Amino acid sequence: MTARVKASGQPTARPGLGARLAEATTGRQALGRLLHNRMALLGLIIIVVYVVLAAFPSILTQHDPNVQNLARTLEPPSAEYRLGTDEFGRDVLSRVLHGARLSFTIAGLAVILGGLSGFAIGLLAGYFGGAVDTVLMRLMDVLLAMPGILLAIAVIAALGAGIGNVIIAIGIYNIPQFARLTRSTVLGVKTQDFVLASRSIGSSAPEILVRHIIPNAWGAPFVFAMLRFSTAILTASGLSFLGLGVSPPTPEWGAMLAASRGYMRLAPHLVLAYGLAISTLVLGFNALGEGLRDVFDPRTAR
Amino acid sequence: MARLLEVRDLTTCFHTPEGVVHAVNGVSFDLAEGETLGIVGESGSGKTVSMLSLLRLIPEPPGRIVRGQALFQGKDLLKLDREAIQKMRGSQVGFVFQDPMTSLNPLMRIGEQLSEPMLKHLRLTPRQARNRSLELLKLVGIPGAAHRLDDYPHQFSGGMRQRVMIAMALSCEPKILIADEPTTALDVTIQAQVVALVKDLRRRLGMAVIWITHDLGVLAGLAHRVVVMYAGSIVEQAPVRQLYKDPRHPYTLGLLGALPRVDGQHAERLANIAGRPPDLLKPIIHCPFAPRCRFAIARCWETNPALLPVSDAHQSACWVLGGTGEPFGETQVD
Repeated sequence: MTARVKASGQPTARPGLGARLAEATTGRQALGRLLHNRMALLGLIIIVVYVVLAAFPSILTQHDPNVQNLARTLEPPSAEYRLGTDEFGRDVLSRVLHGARLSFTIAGLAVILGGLSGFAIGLLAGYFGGAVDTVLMRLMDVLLAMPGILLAIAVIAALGAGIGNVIIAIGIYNIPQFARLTRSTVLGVKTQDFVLASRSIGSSAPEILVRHIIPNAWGAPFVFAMLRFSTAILTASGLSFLGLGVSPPTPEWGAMLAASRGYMRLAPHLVLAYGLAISTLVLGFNALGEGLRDVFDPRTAR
Repeated sequence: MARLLEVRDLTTCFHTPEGVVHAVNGVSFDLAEGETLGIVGESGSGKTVSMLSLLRLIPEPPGRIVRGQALFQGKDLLKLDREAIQKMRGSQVGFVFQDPMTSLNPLMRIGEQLSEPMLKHLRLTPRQARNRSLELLKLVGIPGAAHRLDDYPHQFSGGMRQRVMIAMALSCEPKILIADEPTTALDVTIQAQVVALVKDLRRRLGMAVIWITHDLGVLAGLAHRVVVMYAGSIVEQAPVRQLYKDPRHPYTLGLLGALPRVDGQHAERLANIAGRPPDLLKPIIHCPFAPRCRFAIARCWETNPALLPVSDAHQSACWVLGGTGEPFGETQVD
């Protein structure tokens, strides 16, 4: 690109929307623009810090999250227990970090499950239209008709509690959101001239989907996935808070928040630690998602 | 010249919430090997839809090819199964579209897009296809072709992109090249280059060309024969010289009158055709041009004229000017 500008010595014409998208997704410009966006940068830093600490909790604490020390319960933060201890004398910091691990796993797998299924459904509905569209999207409407958390509770009620089922529940309630977004994106892409041009050289539907539709349609659902990550973390915590998610000894943020509620006056640092852990990570994902949207959306580009 | 394509009674309509749009109404024409056929008409006259219908490229639904046949080397394109028609597209019939800015996938390198039809129809290996893509880029006159294969479409100008589209349409050496207003989105100088390029390639590769346009001026030096379409029907067809010298349909007269001329023979103000094209939602019993026609007689409002022979190769669908009567010269237009 730069080489060509230098060679011709002339500024290039202002490229169209698709071209600018291509530029943003191919070049290093996308990363550059992302790093120039303060919100996105903040989000990225928060997430990176969380990921590193969740992967290597020993950086901050040597305590096992599940070892109880009943002689030292509900202690405020100290040099040994940097965030204090909980009602069973376990290290709160260690539990927060191991909780992050769990939250990343649940939210990650749930968003991947819901995102990929929703993307596939939206792709088929949008591209083929007609009866395929009607049947698939009415199914999605049924799922959308129920509030998300209620749908997740219903799935848990049917499947039983447990990490795997929490992932499935959150994944399912993400499907229609992704399906709708993908469908609308695909509807826009499939009427583009290059799709007709590809049909005119004899491409079949699967070839067009793989070579033309998917590469031009995954951007928006991808950004959306970042935003859904935070919702998934919240929902997972919410389910555990209600006692429907992960069962007690496992360090899960929502479950721990629920348990520490009873000691709010005696040991406020517990609620604060778990609550802040959840909200900071959610803030991080939201900030990154917003930033990504700005980077990918040519209308907000300079 | 042997007959390559024979289209009979092609009729296409679109089912919209407002009703059925009769976009193409019984279009029939022939195309000989190596011939260039021009199709003119204003926007919405059915030029593009009839060409897309030939290869069944119209979106179905809402579109539907109601009846007709399109015999290509003895096979009816409209009756082929999906796989067979996909084999025809690109390999036997190449398409070039109006807007080169949107006809290329912005996320695919030029070389990849050019290779696509050859990988499919000629079963070349990726390396062979790449070599041939390079040849094709040279053939259509893209400077520094070797360095441009890995460029993205946004790095090309409009004229260069249209050359790439032409290269792509020609990659499998089709028998017919259908060019749908390929120069409309380009500057006049680039237009002339593209026209010259297609003329040159036609001579070298010996293919037939169908050139869709709304500009009769472009066709004068390019086409052998011209078909004039109005409201989804052919209203006149003739060899190009005869059409200019002796137009036999008031709509053709109107189009010729609306052409700007450099020699200043016409008044400074270009003539226009009063009124607007008919609403294709309603079936038309009378001559579709009658409401805008200054020659219209009572008969025009009663029945729609079929194509009547003027001479051997010249037909016109007009009760007044058609038929083998007195020639209606240009002098009488003004």
